[in-house]
Amino acid sequence: MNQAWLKKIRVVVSLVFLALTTLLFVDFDRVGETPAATAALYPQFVPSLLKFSQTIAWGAAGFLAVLVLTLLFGRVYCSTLCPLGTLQDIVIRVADQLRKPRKVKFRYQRPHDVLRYGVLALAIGLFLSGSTLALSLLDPFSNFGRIAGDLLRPLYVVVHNGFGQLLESFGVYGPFPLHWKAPPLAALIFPAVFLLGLIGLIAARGRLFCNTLCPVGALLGLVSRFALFKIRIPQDACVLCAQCAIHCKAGCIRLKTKEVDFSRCVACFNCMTVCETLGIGYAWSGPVPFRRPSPVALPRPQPSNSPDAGYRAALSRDGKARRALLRAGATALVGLASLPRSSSVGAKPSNRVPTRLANAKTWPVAPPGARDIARFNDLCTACHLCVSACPYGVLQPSLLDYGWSGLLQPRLDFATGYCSYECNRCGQVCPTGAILPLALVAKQTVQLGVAHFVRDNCIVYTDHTACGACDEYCPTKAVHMIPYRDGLTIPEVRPALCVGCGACENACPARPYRAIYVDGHLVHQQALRPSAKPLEHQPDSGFPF
Amino acid sequence: MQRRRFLTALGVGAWAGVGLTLGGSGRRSCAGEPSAGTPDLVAIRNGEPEALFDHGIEALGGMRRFVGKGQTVVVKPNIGWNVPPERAANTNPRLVRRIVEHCLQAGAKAVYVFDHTCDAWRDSYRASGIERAVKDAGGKLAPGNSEGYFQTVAIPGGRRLRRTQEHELALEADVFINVPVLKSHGGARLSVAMKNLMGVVWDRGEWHSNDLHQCIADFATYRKPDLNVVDAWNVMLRHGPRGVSTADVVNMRSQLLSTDLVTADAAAARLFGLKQPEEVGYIRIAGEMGAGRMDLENLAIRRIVL
Repeated sequence: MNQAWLKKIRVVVSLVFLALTTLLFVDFDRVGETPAATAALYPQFVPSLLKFSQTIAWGAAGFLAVLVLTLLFGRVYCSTLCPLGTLQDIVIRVADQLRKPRKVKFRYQRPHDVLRYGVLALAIGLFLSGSTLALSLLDPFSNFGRIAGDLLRPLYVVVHNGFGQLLESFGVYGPFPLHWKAPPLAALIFPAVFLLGLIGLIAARGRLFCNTLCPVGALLGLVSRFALFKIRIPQDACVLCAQCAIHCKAGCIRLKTKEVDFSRCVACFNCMTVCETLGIGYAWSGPVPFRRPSPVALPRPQPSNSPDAGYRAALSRDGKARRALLRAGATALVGLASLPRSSSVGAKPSNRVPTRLANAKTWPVAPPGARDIARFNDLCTACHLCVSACPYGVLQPSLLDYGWSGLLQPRLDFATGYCSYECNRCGQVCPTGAILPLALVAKQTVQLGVAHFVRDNCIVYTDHTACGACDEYCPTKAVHMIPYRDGLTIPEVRPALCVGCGACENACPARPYRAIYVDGHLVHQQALRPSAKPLEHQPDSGFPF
Repeated sequence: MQRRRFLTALGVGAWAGVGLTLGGSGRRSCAGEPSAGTPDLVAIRNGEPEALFDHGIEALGGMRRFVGKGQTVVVKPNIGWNVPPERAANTNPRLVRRIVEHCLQAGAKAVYVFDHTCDAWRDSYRASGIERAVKDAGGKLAPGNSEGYFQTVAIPGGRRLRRTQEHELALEADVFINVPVLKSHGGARLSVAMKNLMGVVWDRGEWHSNDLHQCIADFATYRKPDLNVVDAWNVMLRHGPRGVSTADVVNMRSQLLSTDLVTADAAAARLFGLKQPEEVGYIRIAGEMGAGRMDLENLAIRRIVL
């Protein structure tokens, strides 16, 4: 039975999903923000599961659909819906074009059950104990998000702006420059190291990530053991041409026994397109009890002339590579503390008297809709979609601001921007529900933190000249100017009106320490809505001059 | 301008003529000269923004006095904030539209509109209604949000501000029309014509940390728009420059036109309700430095009530 057509469908659908998701993360003037992109996010497993865990709504039940699909046909998710899976397939394909033509592209690989189920247990265990750290670092969707949002987006901005500048040199204004507010360099190390490591794994062994480190792969692997339809090699029809095994990206086809380890099959359907007898394909399969493959079925050490030798050598090389990768990751983490952080401390002061008092910040400022930091930390997997979507560049990946379990989760960085009073976009795009969607009116009274004025740092006090930059930007007039001396005015904060948007801190020109800063709330509070007392103004019809 | 020359030198020579569309020859020359009876200031009230401008510009000698055939014009409204027109934090879009129309009728080759906004520029252009207005009128909207657009210029007469980065459109256009909105300002007291020019420079923080009033006045000695049109149709009397709600706004239905930006600011200060224009630091300093005249009592003022 010829099922080769399945691959064509798979490729088209996967590319559509990848394109929609990538556009969303690169976010060029909201071009990516389409209903289709929202639909593409719907079945993303981890975000959908997290959202469902709070809302129990069908609108967030995408992961259930994936489970049903897996119970029917195995891990279709992994090569069709998962953007990281498709990205790996593209890397495999490109690498294939670059390399010398090889007959044997892939080989059967031993399952790494301890590792993959260990990772799954770790991710679930940590999540249940209130930390999304393992999920953040390993979830395929979030990793794809960081690759697209943190690495691809700045590249796109460079190309876009270069093109715009070229057109402008001919007197044409547009496409207008896009702005990328650089996150702390250390935060970019994570997606960069992950991407390099992933490429390394691909070079060694195809979709190895999906069957070792990916918690979604491990979970769906468990479920796919009970799939009603499984890919099978018809024992009698098979002529042992070995094409299926050497094209299997997951290395899960064992020719010796003519078996497909369906728990590791990523449903790429390569095997179906190369089978000489067109025999391999989906077949009805009763539920199989879950047990580890018997030791007999495992490949044993063999003499070096055995066909498995190269594969074993590669395996040990791969082990080394993986250890090196882990070491590199650990080193990078340790190095974080020493790298410069983009806090309120700026480089060159333009004020004549450099300020002296550091800003005493106790908590980071979590995005509106996070509600409280603990809750937010429990739900965010740091996919950075909000970082891409934030039009003011205030949302930036954190390092250890929230502690280890909040690694890479977004926080408001008032050195790069401020939270616009007229914007509630982060809550609308957040796929896990860590940032709840808020109506604009509601968001305008959520107090993320409170502004603190440091008089001894203020230009008006130190230089005795007018400024008022903080007051200019304050949307609620929580920061307002009161008479000082010699006709000058100086800021004053009315905390009840403050929403903690950080516009004042962002605008304050005092350096190295600013004269006004926002300290975050552990639990977001309610700000007063500014009153709209009518003005007393007598209109007159003449001119006062 | 340097980047353009550079790219031209790179081998796009054939297109150089197109590339230099902005650097026209008749730079800042007026198409017509003021006749003897032309007032220094036109103050007009009690009308819609369009009607105020129609009558105001006529009293000042008509748009052809400022814009000649084939010239490029820059109109610089205040588009600082991501708020709707009724909040009066930005220049009224109806006025901007009318001005662009007048420029084109006078024969302008191209009319550019831009501001270096405070809030995100796309949001501010959109929310202010000015994006729509400019497109409808046939003008061109240019961004001011990227340092690449700004060229370093020297301010010879500046006391605190000796050099700054100015938007290339403001540098290169034949005619520069400054269209501020009159409003209160927490740090500078008032925001009018001189303050509006902070939107043609790149680094505003430098001004704030370096004696704001002096910097505003310094820049006014260097950059004198060909025409200033002060939008006082809706005036934000408190909580400026951003404002909190429409309760901060009074419908004054007025407009001021002058070729002298210090005069425009001085008159605006009186209209706003200040006893003396000198109450505003930068108006006093600019007057003292000779950037323009603030002695309204000695000027020819044309007062019109519609």
